Amino acid sequence: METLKVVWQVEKMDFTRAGEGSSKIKKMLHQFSIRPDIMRRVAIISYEAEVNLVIHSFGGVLQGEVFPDKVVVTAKDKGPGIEDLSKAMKAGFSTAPLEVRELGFGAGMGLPNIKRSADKLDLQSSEEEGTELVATVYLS
Amino acid sequence: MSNFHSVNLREGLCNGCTACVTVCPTEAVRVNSQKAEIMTTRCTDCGACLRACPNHAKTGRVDNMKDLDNYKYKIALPDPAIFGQFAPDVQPERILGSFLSLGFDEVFDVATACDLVSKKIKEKIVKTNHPLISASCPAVIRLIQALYPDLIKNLVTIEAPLEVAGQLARKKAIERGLDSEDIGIFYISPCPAKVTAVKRPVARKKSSVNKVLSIVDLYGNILKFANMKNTKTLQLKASGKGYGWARAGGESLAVGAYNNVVVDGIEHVTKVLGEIEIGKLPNVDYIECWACVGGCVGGPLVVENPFIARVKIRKKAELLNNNVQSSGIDKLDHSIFEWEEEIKPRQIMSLDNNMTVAISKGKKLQEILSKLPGYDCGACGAPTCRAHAEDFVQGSIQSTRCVFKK
Repeated sequence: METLKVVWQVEKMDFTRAGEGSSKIKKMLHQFSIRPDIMRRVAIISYEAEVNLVIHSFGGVLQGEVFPDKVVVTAKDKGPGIEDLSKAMKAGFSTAPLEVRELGFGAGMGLPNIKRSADKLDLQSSEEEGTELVATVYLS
Repeated sequence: MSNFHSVNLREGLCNGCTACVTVCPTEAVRVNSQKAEIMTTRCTDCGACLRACPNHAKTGRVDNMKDLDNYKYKIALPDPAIFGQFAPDVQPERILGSFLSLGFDEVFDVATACDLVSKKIKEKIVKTNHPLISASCPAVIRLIQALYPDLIKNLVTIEAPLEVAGQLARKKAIERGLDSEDIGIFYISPCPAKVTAVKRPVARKKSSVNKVLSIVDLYGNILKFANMKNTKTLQLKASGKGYGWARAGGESLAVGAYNNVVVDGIEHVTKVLGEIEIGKLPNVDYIECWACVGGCVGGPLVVENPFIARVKIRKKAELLNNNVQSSGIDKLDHSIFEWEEEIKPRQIMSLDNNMTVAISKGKKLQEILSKLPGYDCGACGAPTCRAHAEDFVQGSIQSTRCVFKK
């Protein structure tokens, strides 16, 4: 099956570029006649996933892939893994350091927003392998 | 004519420099055969290209004074931005009066409609889901339709003052016994976006305004008549806040939105709309967006520098009474304030309606793009390498013509 993909490298704590990858994904979505609400949900997922990589990971890759029937956003990092997945999914729970919060990030809404916006969410995390987030939004 | 846009190119003045190409928020301009061309399906009439052109090759496609001859009864609707155009010693009352000398039978000050619209928006702020986005700048509405379609539901569904003014002026003239056919309503506009708002309205079938003239075209004559002794003066009827709509921030002040954000300049507007889209402004009630720096005083069809015009408007507004306002608003037919039709998204960047075809075109685009240098220099006539690859994939150019390609 033919798909269209955007892949973006995200560096740890590089706030100057945070949002660039998700805006590339959004630009790709504009090439399709996708429902506006779906486009917005993917925009939220990819932005939150990218900011998570910037704040919490040692760096990683953000990817947006368009299939004929769905859009899949993947964020894979090099670690250190999420200590408590169920806590991380709770709105307002954040492990972001103070200096990050002072920048207006790390309010503990990232994963809950992603969950709310995705039709399907797979989250795998371990200290050795790092974290892989796969969020799917169906087009109809 | 569904793709009407109000930006006109004076070909003789265009030297194909690509200054306009790079500023367009929807990548609607290309240079082909050394002349700028607008992709009409993409243009939002924001006027960024008019302002960027160093040769003044682009102008607003406005009507002219000869159109007055087609109507028995002519009403001028001057935009509040007009009051920031003249030296402080030119009285606003004389500016209004000069329209009578120009051949109009009546002047309906759009600022009075700003007062009424402010009141209606105020009611919406209390009742609606936030953040509300102002729908006063027609270029911003068209930008939202094109690039941020899911934000259409955040727009304030209240008609812009120019449309409300047009309807009220016509209604009052008809009540005085005039035939609607004989009435010509002429809006005096600071920008091309409002020309399009009249010629091709987004939230109604037909505008109540008949013709649009530009402030810049009338400037000389207004100045001449305003300085003549026998020119009549017309009393200002709107409040200071009504006139304040001409500058960015004036609308928020008039509607009493204190938990607000004011954004002016189309490139800033696109950024802020992008932030609203991903939910980054959850605690804001009202967002005032203007395509032009300074708001309407910075429109491409005005004369004065936007920063100076903004101060002039502010000072004039501060001198005026703010209690005049919307007396009698309750007696009006409130349907004049509401949008007649729902605003629809415009997917102008789509490669194809069919997903599979769009994916395969997108892949081809990526392949071509990988061979282009990514300088986004504009030398090929497209704003970016990506846009150039897109033109090729869509068949509007037969080969890529990159001067840097190895």
